[in-house]
Amino acid sequence: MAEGAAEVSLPESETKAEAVPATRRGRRPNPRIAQMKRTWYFLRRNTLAMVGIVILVIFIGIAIYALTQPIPWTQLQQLRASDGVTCASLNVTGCVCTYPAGSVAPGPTCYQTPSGYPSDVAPTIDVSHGTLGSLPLGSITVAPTNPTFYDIYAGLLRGSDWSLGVSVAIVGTGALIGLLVGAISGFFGGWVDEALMRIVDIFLSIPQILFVIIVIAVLVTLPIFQPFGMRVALLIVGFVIVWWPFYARIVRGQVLVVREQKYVEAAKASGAGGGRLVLRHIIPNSVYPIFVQMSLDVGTIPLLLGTLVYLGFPVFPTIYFPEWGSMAALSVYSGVGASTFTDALLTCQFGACVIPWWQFLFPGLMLFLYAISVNFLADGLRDALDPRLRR
Amino acid sequence: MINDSTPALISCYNLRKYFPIRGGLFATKIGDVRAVDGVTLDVRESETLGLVGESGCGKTTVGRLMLRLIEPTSGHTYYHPSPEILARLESLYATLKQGVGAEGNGGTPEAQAALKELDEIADQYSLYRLKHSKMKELRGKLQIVFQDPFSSLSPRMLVRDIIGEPLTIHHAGSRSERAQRVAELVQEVGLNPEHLWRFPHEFSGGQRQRIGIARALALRPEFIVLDEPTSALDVSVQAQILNILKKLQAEQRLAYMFISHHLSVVRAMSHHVAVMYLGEIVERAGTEDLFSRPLHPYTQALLSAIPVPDPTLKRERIVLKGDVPSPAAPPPGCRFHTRCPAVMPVCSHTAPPLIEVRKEHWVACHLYPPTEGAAAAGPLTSRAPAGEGDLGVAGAPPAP
Amino acid sequence: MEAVSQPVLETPVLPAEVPLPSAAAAPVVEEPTGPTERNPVVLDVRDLKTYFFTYDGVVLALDGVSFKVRRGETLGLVGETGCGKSVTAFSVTRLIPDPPGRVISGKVLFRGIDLLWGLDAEARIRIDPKTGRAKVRRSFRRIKAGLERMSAVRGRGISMIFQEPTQAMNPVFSVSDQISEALILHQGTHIVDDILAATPGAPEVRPALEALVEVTRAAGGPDASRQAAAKVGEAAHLSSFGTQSFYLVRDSELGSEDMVRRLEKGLHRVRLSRLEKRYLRHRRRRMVVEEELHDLYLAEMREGRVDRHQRRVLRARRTRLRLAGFYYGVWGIRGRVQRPLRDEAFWRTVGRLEEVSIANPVQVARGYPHELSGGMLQRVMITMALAVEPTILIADEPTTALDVTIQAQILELMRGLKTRIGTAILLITHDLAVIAEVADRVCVMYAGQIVETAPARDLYQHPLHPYTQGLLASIPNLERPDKKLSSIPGSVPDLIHPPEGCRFHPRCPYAMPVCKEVRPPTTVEGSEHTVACHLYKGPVAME
Repeated sequence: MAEGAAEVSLPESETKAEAVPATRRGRRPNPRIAQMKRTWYFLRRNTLAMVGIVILVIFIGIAIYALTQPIPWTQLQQLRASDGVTCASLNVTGCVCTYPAGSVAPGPTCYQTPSGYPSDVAPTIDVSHGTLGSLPLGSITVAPTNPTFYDIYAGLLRGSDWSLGVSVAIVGTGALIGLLVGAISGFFGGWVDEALMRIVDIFLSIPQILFVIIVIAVLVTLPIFQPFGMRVALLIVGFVIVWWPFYARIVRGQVLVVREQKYVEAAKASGAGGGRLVLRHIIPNSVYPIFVQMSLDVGTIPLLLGTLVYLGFPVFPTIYFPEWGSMAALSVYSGVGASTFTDALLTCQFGACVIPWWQFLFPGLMLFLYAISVNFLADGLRDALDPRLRR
Repeated sequence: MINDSTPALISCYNLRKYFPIRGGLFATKIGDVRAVDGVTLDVRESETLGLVGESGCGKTTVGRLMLRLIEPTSGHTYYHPSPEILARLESLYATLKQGVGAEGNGGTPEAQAALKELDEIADQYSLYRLKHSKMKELRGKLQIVFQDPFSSLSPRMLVRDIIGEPLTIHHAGSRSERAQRVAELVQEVGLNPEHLWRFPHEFSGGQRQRIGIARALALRPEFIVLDEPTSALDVSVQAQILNILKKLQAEQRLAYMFISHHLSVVRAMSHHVAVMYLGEIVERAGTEDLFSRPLHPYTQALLSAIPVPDPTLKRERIVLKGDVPSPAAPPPGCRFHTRCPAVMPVCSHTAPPLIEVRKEHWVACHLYPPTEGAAAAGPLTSRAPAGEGDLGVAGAPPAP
Repeated sequence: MEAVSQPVLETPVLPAEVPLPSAAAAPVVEEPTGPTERNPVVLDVRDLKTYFFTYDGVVLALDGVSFKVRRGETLGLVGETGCGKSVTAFSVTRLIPDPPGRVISGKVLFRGIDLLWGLDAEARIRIDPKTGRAKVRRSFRRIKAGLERMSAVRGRGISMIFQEPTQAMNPVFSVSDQISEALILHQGTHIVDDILAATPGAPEVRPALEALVEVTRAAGGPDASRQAAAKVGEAAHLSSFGTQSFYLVRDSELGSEDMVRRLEKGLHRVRLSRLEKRYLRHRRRRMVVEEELHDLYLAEMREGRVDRHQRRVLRARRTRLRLAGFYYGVWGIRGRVQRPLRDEAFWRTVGRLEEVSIANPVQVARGYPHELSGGMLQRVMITMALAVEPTILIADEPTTALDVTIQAQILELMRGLKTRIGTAILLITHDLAVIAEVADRVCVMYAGQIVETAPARDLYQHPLHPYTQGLLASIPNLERPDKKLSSIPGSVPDLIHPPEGCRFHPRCPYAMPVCKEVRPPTTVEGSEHTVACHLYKGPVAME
């Protein structure tokens, strides 16, 4: 065994664990894809995670389908009818007939549920007295003075749109801001770190729901947020303001660890400046813990949104809104024929009202399924990505 | 030091690094961890200086100080100093040593003048006073290879990005030229080009260390600090890495500072060896000299503590009592006196200076009192005399 | 340059510190150490196979490992990272994490008891030929039962110490708490008996105390003090009281009358109230039940069958005792009833710490792991492992994380313990030099197989296997610095697809065509020297 020349090692492809198979001629197999395949393998073995994935895929499918429908889809379409016309004569299913307040003529106004869901219970509507009646499955009335009907089924489908879309937007933006703040704070340390962390502490010490309410209540007065489209933006902005500190704190903790690693020092020894270090070394290695938090938050935010609306908070511009939380809230109003939450509460004391159970069960069920499927997926992802559980 | 013909590549003088200990209500400073306390060394071109000591003695910090990865509390480092500068520095330090302390705080006027001139020289040549842009240019020449092959490579970067990073930072050549250079480097350290497209965690420890070496070589350095490069590796892999290092040193005329606590490895690699204990240099000599005639009791204990793979060899082992004291509260006088088997009363209150006892062999121990000729210790004082003002970047070092 | 085996010293150097004689009586060992024909085999590992079932395939970590350890001898298990030596140690004590690893087959005979009994029934393994991945169906009930059987052996017959001493101890408990736990668990009945049999009120005690105080004040030196303290212990029939008196006297500065009175007050800890006596007897009953349960497990492993009836009986008894213990829980607020037991265990701990030459054992025992350095912690770990006087100590890289001078201290300690206590040691390390210092016999492992076994001298002077030769050649030898550093080309093979035949053949300079096909048998090449290599054609070793 001579020294000097004999140091070149044998070709490593025989001696390394992952003998990466050659794909096409000349094309190197991408190691990042191999990592993803490995993560997928572990996810597949986790039953709960698979259940979560399946449910989530269904939700995404629903959301995409709902997106393809026009916006006022959930509102019942008013079929103008002339006098003497009845639903039967119109030969339309899913038709609900009402009589305008205090009149017999000119005739019924027919509403059709766009989903075509047939009504199987005879309608008992008393719109004349300004109360909300109980309508069969497939329809819901909202306001006594403005009998706009509302399709639960379509609302459920549309709700997945909102839940997914809004929560992804909130989580994405919040995580981005939190990542930047946490990375800067953790990397530079000193008074920057102290100042930013005190801000984070202040934000974190206020209860979330309360904070969101306050923020949105303050911001809603701004003229910029009056139009409907901007209301959605208001919602997102409000949540992001409350949510980014969680991410900042997680990222900062990880950055403090990564900062001490030798490869950061090696990059410094090669002459890397602060920006390059943060972008290329610190952030990619600190990002892992917030993935789990992000996936959990995607499940939590619709719950929070629903809670807000249920409490009567005017998040949306109209009280009828195809979002799960608001649908569940509206069930209370419709049950008692009230139009505000306090009225509903007062009327509903001591079980003196009957809330149509299907009107809040289904939205609640959707929320529950959504949140739990996201949680399963997040757990599975965390287990699959954990380098210590190399199985 | 300048007696040798090989020119010095990098010299440091009286380096100190104190880390503040914060405690109390407002995190006020209540003490210092004296990691490095007055270290003077030089490394000559294409030679290896071995720095030996146990954990906590500050040798890693010295390596980082010499590359300006951390800023010293005081002291200077000169890169490629010309012989005239070196001679001037020697005479200035000699004057300082004689002048300061003779008249209390201020010292003699010659000492004051010497201080001023030292400061001027430092302004011009010292590594720590360079502007950051100039320092960045120098980074390619002064590199480091770390101990832990597992944490010294960024886990989310491909190997070719890791090796190519220094080139990218310094915009060395076009993209294809950089790729070519990376391929060359990989071959030099004995890996295959197809390894470039993998992540670090797919490699064994020895291979990762080779990647680290390739990264250090990217910008054709002249001086590499090897911070325990083989301590985390097995014996046969260690041999491979050491052979690569030696080959590279011969081919590219690299100078190494080999930091380790494995004396046998240091002996195989180094031309000169310095032994550190608790932040100070206690002995320094050429390799053969140090290993055949170790003078300082700590060196003797270290040498006798090394297990030898020969069960028939029965040796008198010097087992030191107790543990290494904490560098936050080093013992007064000679720092080794609490564990020294040959301790004398003087050791507990006077620190021994580093004296050239034989040709090219310096020791800091009261067992070897300074004789007439040896008293002319040059800048290689391991402990600056009390009252010496600040020679360095920030504040004066507190009195020893 | 002269080749020296000893550094030339210019000045006289004081000799190494003499280890302290222990105040507690050290157990006397009658058997001579070192392997002799009469020396019985304590641990006999035969054809051990351990596989790890991972995403990338099945890692054949151990592929038929066999070795023997005799009573009182130190066997060194040497190999590089990834060769499977730690896996061997964990397989013997069944500490392999169950997903992903499993011991597939083999026999581990510990004093004649097969520790791996019941292994086959625990899991069914099927390997998918396409992907190379395995499906393992485990029976958790049986696995749990198997692990509980092992609890009879772990800690009592076999102890282990690990590599990182700073992480091996629980940071929220003091050192004495942790060592006491081990002592009480394994020697509890003896401790309780000693406490109950102590006679603090005996008339000989007071004069012995006075003698101790006299000797100390006369500054007769630590040895004389210790002897006097030992006499106190004898007088009170409780040797740990001798330890306590010694330290009390040493650390205090009172006058002699006060001193004696204070010492007598210290005796108070040994005077038991009725409640405490009842509690101790209850505790003893529980310990006896546990011991019987452990003996039952050992008998099961020895005979190879499960005795359900006896198990049920013992477990029922144990449960009843546990329930009865709740009564004492009421009185046990602030640990009152447990106090005598804990104090006794504390002072015994101090005695043990003395034995490993820790300079201030009382302080160390009261302190916490984070206050101690690595070297001290490793000593404490050795104490804990040897406190229960096991038959064999498995040391997994005990000195790798320590500095050279501390390592020298620990190796010195282990050599001393070898001669004093006579425990067999299985020392696992990658440092051949450490092995040369301590081991009697050495096994060299490569890629999950043992390639050479020999007495230490023979191995270093006449290494037979090419891998051993390569390893020895690549160590930089302090004594011969001119010897060039040679290295073995290539690197450790991937154990998922190991090379066919002899696993070393891709790197072997003497590889022959037969090496690529047939795994070499282990042949005997000298007294106690076996090799697994086709170069040697001696008689095949009998198992």
